[in-house]
Amino acid sequence: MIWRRLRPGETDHEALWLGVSLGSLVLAKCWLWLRLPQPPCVFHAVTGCPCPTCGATRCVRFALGGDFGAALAINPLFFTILIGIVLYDIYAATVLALRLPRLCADPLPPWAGQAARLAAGTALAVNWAWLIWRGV
Amino acid sequence: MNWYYDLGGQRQGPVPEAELDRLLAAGTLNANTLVWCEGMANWAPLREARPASDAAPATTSAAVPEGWVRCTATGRYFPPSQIVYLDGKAYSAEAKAGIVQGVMQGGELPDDDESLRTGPAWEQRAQLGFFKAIWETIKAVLVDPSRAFETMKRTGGIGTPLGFYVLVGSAGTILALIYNFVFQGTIQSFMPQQPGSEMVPIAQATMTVIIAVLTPLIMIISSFITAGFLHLALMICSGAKQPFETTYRTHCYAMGAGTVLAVIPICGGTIGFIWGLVCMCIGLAKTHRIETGRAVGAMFVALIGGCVLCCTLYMLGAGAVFAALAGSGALKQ
Repeated sequence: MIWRRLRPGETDHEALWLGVSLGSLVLAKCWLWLRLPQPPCVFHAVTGCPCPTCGATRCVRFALGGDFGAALAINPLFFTILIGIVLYDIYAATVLALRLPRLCADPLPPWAGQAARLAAGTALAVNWAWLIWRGV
Repeated sequence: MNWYYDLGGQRQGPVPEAELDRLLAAGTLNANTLVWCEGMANWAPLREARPASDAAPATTSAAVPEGWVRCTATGRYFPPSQIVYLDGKAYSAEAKAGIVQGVMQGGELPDDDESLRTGPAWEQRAQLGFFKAIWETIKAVLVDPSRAFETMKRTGGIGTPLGFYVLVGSAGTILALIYNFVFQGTIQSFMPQQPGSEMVPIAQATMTVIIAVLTPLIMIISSFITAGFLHLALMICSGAKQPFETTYRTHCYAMGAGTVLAVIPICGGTIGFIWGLVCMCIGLAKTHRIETGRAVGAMFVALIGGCVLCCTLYMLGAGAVFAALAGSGALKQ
């Protein structure tokens, strides 16, 4: 990992994903406030079992309402991802506001890439088992 | 203005400025050649005496000065002084940033075919005209996605494909909302009605209008999130050979064109969503230059991870139909 300036023509990921996060937050607030219909889970409707991301909408609703315990309980993996998004947004806002160099990751060596894939797959599987056990 | 130049320790000239350009293009002179003209205090390197000539814009093949070399990454022609050779291929200094980024992210140097990727018609709307460019792009992506994505530009910013996606996708979605709302009475008549579940028509109309107004914002945000999931899935499947920008451009053109099919009554949203996914698989294979199976695998991984968002997109594509079904009580939430 190194700190460096953006190269000419390089995508400004910090600005992009900070904008997407803030836009999503505004949209989610509007959607809930207007009581618009929430998307059904097609997987749940067909199989009767929760999909790997079931409970994500409710997790967002609990988090926006300040009930972080309930948000964590409903979908631990998605709540963890939300925390990660918040931390990234804080980093992005800081580097953009202060015009700092960006934190850039070097390409992972093959063994690290394999480990990352294994960790991601395991986390998804464990979370899914939790959702099925809880009957989310 | 006449110039003198130093060649092999021998002073040459005077030559007019046009001759100096010709000698530079031919490779006889380079950026470090000492030159002098009236008004200069001392002899100076050509790049200092005439910075504009050293950075002379490359030209197309139609008017290439003799000795200029074609850059593999951009397809444009440059003087030999601005060319370096990597792995036996010529690359210009102008392409350096993109080459470094591509190598760091994908581990590969740009291909020879990069200059042949002129993008879909939408990228050339200034020459073709607005509506013709949209139509040609939709037709190319839906009818011959393989060819469309073989020639799609992999870089060039995210604004242009985003504009296509929001314009075409919003228009298709809003038309479908209006179309289905007009005919939802017919749809509801086929659904079993449960007591107390009827929605007031004005409430359905209000909800439809609100969703229609929010559609562009939803499409902008969902495009980045969906493309992000897709690129992450490609990285998991070792298929991300190009940067995120390439994945995003592929997603916008594939799903944007597919949304147009939502104008087909009742099942158009589903058909458009599924065909958009098919086009996207083909597109990812062509733009990242990976096997189609790997692209399909990444698609499934992304669908699992982002199925909530995919459901949202699906709902937008058949928004009013869903509202009609919910109003009839046919769906449990």
